[in-house]
Amino acid sequence: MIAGDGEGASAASNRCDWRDLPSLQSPTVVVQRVMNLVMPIKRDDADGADDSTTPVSPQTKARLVIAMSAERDAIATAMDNLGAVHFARFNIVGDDLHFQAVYDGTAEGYVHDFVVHLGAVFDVIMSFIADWPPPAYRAEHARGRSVSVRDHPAEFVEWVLRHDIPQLPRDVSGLLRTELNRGAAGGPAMQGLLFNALVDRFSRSGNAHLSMHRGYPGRTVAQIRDALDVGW
Amino acid sequence: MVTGSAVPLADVQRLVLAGPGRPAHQVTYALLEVVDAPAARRRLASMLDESPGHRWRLSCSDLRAETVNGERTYLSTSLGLTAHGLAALGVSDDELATFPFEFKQGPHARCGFLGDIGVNAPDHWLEHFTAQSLHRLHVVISVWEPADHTAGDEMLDDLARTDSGMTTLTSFKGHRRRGGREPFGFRDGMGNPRIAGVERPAHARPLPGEEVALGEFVLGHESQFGDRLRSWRVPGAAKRPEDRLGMNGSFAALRVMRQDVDLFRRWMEHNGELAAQLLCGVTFDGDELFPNGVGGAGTAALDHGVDPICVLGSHVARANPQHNLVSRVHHRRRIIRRGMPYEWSEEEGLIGLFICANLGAQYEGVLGDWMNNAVHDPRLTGTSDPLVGYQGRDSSRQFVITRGVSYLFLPGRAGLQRIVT
Repeated sequence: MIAGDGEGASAASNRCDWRDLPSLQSPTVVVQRVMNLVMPIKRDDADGADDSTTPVSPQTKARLVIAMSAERDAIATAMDNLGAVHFARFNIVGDDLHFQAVYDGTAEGYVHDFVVHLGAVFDVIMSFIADWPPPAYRAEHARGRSVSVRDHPAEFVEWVLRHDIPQLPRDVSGLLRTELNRGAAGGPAMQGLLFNALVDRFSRSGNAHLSMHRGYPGRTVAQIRDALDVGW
Repeated sequence: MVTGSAVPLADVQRLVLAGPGRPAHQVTYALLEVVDAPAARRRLASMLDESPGHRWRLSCSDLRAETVNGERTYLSTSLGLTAHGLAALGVSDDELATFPFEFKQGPHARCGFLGDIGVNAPDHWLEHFTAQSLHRLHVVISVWEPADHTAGDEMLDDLARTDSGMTTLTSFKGHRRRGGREPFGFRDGMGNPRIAGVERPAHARPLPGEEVALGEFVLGHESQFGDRLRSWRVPGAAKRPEDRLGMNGSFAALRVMRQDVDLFRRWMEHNGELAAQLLCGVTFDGDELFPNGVGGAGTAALDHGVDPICVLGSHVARANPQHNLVSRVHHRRRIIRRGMPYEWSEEEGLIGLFICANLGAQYEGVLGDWMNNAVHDPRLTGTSDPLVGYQGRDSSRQFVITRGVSYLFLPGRAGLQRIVT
C-alpha cells in the first residue's frame, strides 16, 4: 500500500491485468466443458532434483502410478458422486501428468466439489507434482509440512485453472475481435492482426486447446443418466 | 440486537450480518474514482473514527456499538472496494495476488455463463460499468437510512465539496416501496439466512430455513464444509489469517437490474396472475404458492392444473434448490441479498448487493449454474430463470435487464485500517 504514494490511479490500474486467466465470456461453455490439466511431475533426488532438463525417471513415474492405483476405488467413487463428470482420465505424457475431463457446470463450483470428494486423493497426487503448493506455502512445505488441497480450496481452484490448457475461441476471429476491443490498432491487414494476436497468445501461454467434437451437444451427465434410467 | 460470542460483530460491516435495519427505507450509492491515493486513504481512514457524532463511520454489526446517547443510529454506512480500487489505493501486488481470481477478473470476463449476454451484455450497461470505464470504478459507498433522512445527499455534497481524493463518478438512489414490494409487485424480503452464532433479537420474527455457517459470508470463519474443508482463504499476505486485510471481510456483487414493468403487466394480463406468480415461485405476498411443498413433487400444483416442473423451475426454487441433486455435495451456495428498488425518470428496477465469502462458488454458482443454465436438475437443464434469467431471443419475456455489475470487497474495520495505513 506504500507503493501508492505519488502514483497516479492510471499507473496503479495497469497492475490489474489478470487476462492470463481463463475467461468465461462465451455463453456456450457451461455444459460439457473441457478440462485439460497439465501437471508437471516432480523430479525426485535420483532424477537430479531441480534440473528441469533431465527427463523424469521411469522410477518416479512408476511410483506415481502405484500411488494412484492405490486410490483407484476412491477416484471412481468420487467421480460417480460428483455427478457432473462425463469422462475423466489420467495420462502421463512426457514429464507431465495430464488430467483430462469433460464436465458440466463452472470450473469453480466443480473444482470445489472435487476438493470435497477427492481432496485426499489429490493430496497423494500433488505430492508428485512439481509446482504445488503455490509460492506462499513453499517454505511451510519445505519444512516437511504437506500443504493439503483441502486446507486451501481457493488456491487449489486457481492452481487448477492456471494449469488447464486454455481453449482458443472456437471462431479464431473471436480472438481477433477481443484484441481489437483491447485497443489494438485497426487497419486493412486483418490476417496480419490475427497472426499477431495468435503469436501474442502463444507467447503468453504455449499450450492451447483447439476444439472438441460433441456427439450429443448441450446434454448434461444428469440428463443422460436420467434418460437411460441409470440414476442421477 | 445481534449477539454472538465467537462472532466478531464489531469488526464485520453492519450491512453483512445485521442488515441496514428496518427503518432503512432508502439507500444512496456513490461510485467513486480514486484520483489522489494518499488523500483517499485519509478519507477512508476517517470512516474508522470512533468519536460520537461522526457521520461517515463504517457501521459494524454490533448494534450495541451503533448507539449514540443510548439510541440506536439508523444511519448505516457500508464500503466496497473493487480490485482496481484496491490497486489504486496502493495495495501491493503481493497482497492483491492473494485475492480470488474471479474478483480480480471482474464481471466482464465472466458475463457469458452468468446470463449477461445479448441485451444484458456489458456493452449495454450504464456508462460507469462498461469495459471502457471499469478501471475507474474504485470505491462504492452506500448509505442506508430512514425515508425522510438526508444523510445520503449530505454524503454526496460532502464528497463534492471536500478534498476526499476521490471523484464521484455517479450516484444511485433506491427507495423502499409501499408494502415493501419490488416493482413487479412481489413482497421483497431481504435475503437473510440464519447464521450460526448470530442471535436474533427476541422480538424479531424467526428466520426460516436451516442455519448457515458464518464462514459462508464472513472471511476467516468455518464454512459449511466444517472441518472437511477449511474456510475460504482470507486474502492478504500476512502469515496469520487474523492479521490479513481480508479478515472479517466479505465479497459482494453490486447488481443494477432494470425491470420492464409494462412488459411484465402485459404478460400477466395475457397469462393470468397464477402464471405470473409461478415465474417467481411465491405469491405476490411472498408466501409459498402451494403450501404442500415443492418437495412433494408439487401434487398441490397438479391440483391447480400446473405442471410441477414450473414450480421447480421458478425463480425462488432455482435460487435455493431443495436438492442440488447432481453433485452429491449439498452445496447450498447461500447468499445474503440487500436489495432496494430504484425509480429513475426513464426506468425502474432493483439495485442489489449480493454478499458472500466467495463470488465464484456462491454468487456465480447460483446465477450461472442454477439460474441461467440449471445444470443441477436434468429436468430443467438448458432453461433459464423465467423471471430474471436471460431469455435468449424471446424478448417478449425479458422482464429483467442487467444494467451494471461490479465485484466488491467489503472489508472489516481492521481490514480497512490495514488498507489505508
